[in-house]
This record gives sequence, C-alpha cells and structure tokens, in this order.
Amino acid sequence: MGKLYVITFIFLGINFSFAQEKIVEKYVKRQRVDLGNMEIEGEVLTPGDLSIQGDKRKRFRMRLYDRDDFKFEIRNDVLNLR
Amino acid sequence: MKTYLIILSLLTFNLNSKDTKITTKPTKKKEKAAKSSSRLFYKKAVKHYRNKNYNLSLYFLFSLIKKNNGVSKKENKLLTRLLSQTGTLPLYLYDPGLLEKINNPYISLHLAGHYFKKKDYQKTMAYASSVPESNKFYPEARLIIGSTLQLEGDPKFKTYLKQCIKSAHKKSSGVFAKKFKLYYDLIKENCQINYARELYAKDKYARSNAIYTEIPKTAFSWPYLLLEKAWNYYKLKDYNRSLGLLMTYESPLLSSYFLPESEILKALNYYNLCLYNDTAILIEKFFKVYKNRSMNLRGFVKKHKDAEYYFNFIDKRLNKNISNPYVKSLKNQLKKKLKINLHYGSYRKTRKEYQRLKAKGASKRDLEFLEFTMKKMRQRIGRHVQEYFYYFINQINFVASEMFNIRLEVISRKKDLLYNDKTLVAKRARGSFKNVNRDSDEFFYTFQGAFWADELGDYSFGLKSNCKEVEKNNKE
Repeated sequence: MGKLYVITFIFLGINFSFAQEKIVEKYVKRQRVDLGNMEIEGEVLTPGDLSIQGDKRKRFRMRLYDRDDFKFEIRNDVLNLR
Repeated sequence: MKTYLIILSLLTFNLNSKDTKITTKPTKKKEKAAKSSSRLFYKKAVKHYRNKNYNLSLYFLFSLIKKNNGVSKKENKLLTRLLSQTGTLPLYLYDPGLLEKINNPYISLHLAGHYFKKKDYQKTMAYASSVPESNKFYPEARLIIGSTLQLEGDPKFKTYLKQCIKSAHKKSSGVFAKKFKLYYDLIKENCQINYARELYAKDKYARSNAIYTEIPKTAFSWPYLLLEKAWNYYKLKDYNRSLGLLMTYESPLLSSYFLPESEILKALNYYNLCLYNDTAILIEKFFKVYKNRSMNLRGFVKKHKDAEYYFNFIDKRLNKNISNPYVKSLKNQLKKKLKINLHYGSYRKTRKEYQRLKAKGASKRDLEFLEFTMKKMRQRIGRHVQEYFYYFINQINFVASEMFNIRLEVISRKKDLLYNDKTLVAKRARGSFKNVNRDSDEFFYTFQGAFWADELGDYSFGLKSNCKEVEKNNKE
C-alpha cells in the first residue's frame, strides 16, 4: 500500500512539474503622448525649388502591314488555270 | 516400306503446300468473253465519238481502261481526241489512281494541277514535266513547273519561266483562233508577272515595275497588276504614284475590281505622307461602307451553302438581278478567270450533248449518266465560286484588322504632336505638279474629273509630304 502511495506521489509530482504556468498579459489602458514636447533632430536636405525629373517617354510603334512577296498570288494563279 | 512412302508423300505434300499459290487461269471461254466485252466498249466509245457524244464516249473509254488496267496506243489516241473536245473538267469524275496509269498530256496536266492543289510538289513536277514540247499545253506545263520551283525557292524556276514565255509566244503567233490566242497570251503574261514578283521579293522594285509595264492594258490580269505595281511604288517611297495607281480602281471601267488590299495600301500611302486626317477619313469610309456590305455578303454566304447555287452566278441564263454590289463585282471578276471559262465551256458542251440525245430519244441509262456528269460539273464550278466568296470575306476581315492598326497609329502620332506641343507643317498639304515624279518619256496632264481608257494606270497624285514638324507657337 505504501508503495502505491509513493508511486502516485511521484506521478503527481511529475505532472505538476510539467504543467505550464499561465501568463496573463495586461495592457496599459490609456497612454498620453504630448506632441508639443517632441523634438526631431536632423538636417533639411530637400532642394529649394520643386522639380520633377521624368524618364524619356518610350514610343511604341505598331507593326503595320507590309508585303514581303507575292507567293500567295503565284499559287493562286496556278490554281486558277484548271 | 509402304508406310514410309505414305509418310514421305505426306511430308512432301506439306512442304509443297507452303509455296503453292492458287491461281485461277481464266478459261478460254472467259477470256473470249472479256475480249469481246473490251471490243464492245471500244466500239461504243468510237461510235459515240463519231456521233459527237464526247462525254458518253469518254465514259466507255474509261470503263475499258479500268477493265484492262491500262491503255493501248489506239485507245490513247482516241482519249486525246475526246479530251480536246470535252476539256479536262470531266476528268474530275474519275479516280486519280486510275488516271495515273495513263500516259497522256491532258491527263498529266490535270494530275499536275491536282497534286499542286494538294501541295505535293514532287508529283506536280513529275506530271507537268511529262507534257512534251510539241503539245499545245506545253507553255502551261512550264508555268506550273516554274511556279512550283519559285514557291520552293529554287532558282531554276527562271529557266522554266523563260521556256514558258518563249513557247507561249511562238504558239500564240501560230494559231488563228482568237480563243487560243487569248489563252497563250494569258499564260505568257502569267510567266512574265512571276518574274516581276520575284524581283519584288528581292527588293528590286524599279526592275520589277519595268516588267509589269510590259503587260498590255488590255490583258485580263492587268487590273490585278495595278495593286502589285502600286506596292512597288510604295516600297520606292513614291507614295503619290502609288496612290495614283490605286485611284484607277475608281474608274467606271474597273468598278467591278474591288480589291480590299488596295484600301490598306491607300491608307499606308497617306499615313507615310503624314496626311493623318486623310488616312482617318479613308479608314472611316472603309468601316462605314465596306464593312456593312461585307456583313451582308457574309449573311448571304451563310444562307446559301449548296455549291450548285453558286454555279447559277456563272450561268448566263440565271440570276441576272443581283442587288449586293459585292456579289455583282465578284461575279464579274470570276467570269474573266481562265478556269471558270474553260470549265463553263465544258459544261455547256455537255449540256448540248444531253439536250441533243434527249431529243433523239437516247436510252435512259445514257441520259442518266449525262445528268450525273452535269450535276458533278455544276458542283465543281459552284464550289470554286463559293471558295472565291469565302476568300473575299476573309480578305475584308483581314483588311479591317489592319485598318484598325493604322487608325491606332494615326491616333498615337497625333497624341505625340500634342504632347510635344508641335504641329505638322500644314493642316492639309495639297497637290502640286512639283510633287509628281516622272520619267523622261512621261507627259503631264491634269486630271479633269474624267477617266480616259488610255490614261488608266498612269495616274499620279501630287501631294506634298506633310511630315515636317514645327513648334505650335511658331505656326500660330
């Protein structure tokens, strides 16, 4: 009987040791930011005049109809013989 | 010993039986019957030939050829005589496999055309080559070989075209019948045109035009050459001359020759002269007028699918009231094609033969055969007409898509000018004598709004190129 109690306690001990702790996160409900007190350090690098430098406009040209030969007509002439 | 002999005989029997072929020798009686039926076919063929029933005679002769699986010298001679009367149209009724067994110039020419259509150029050349120089179809056969080689990119085509021109010229001056003269002239012109076409493909436009100019204005093919010539001028950047040639199609004499491709070339010429407004007007006109007409034609073709219906367009006795201008124009174009003329001539002869035999009270079997022949002929001609109609509709669709591309390009050019704050030198640069390029042997007459037959094909516009761009502010 004594042995049974010992084994039970050992198992219970192991279970407790493996059990994860519950983490409860709490957020700050209200936060106040004073924008008037904020300061940004640095130098102004923008040019004085407002200028835009665009890329040169690419001109796409459509391939218009062009005749290379009269092969169709050569064939058609023979087909129209007989 | 006996058993050995029996076994040996059985073995030898088995060995022999493997090689044994069962051949049935015709009995003398059967042979006699076959000979007499062959004689009967030949007799009937000769009898019908003498009575000028050429189609019936041809039928009996082909039955004989089929039966004998070949043709004798005597039969071949009769075949040549018959085909010179009927033309090659009835040959479409017979299996090409049977025709291949016959060595006859008419049949060789027919088979060359048959295999050319199937793009079997090797067989085309073989059959066309078998037509001897003495034969009246020699120039045509040379044209077929020359064209085949030209399509395959073989430079030897020149030799055949030269032979074609030479022989056609010789035969044309040797015949008295106007019909044959026209035929040889047409063949000769076709060979000359193929030369010009080759020069165009090799970017030798001026030389190509010189050959086109040799073709007389009275030639059947001349109206079609205007477009090819205009392409030459376009490539030479002589847009005014190209436009002038295309304007010839507006003359009343050539009103039935509406070639959709000429509309693209007109638009391209205006576009290259930077006359964007003129290009836009031309395209607008095409879409407004021609597209609707082509839709009508499409509806017409979809409605009538029977080949025999199209034959009626060619038959002079039928369908004289045609309202669709395209159908009318196509009908007139087709009537001037060699193939249609030859085939319609064959059909008319067959019809006469049928009417004569019917009046004489010929046998039902003979009349039925002629009715069948006529039906097949009508279908053959009708299918050709139908094909031409479909080709025309496809051409219109193709032109419409190309016209749309040109329109987009015009809009793009106009947009460029606007973005760059530029404009063209003139809003509409009009004609001037200064802009007409002419040779030393050409004279200049102003166009007074009337077309003269002798002037056709020699027109030129005098439009100034408007391609110079100027600053918009400067112009204002």
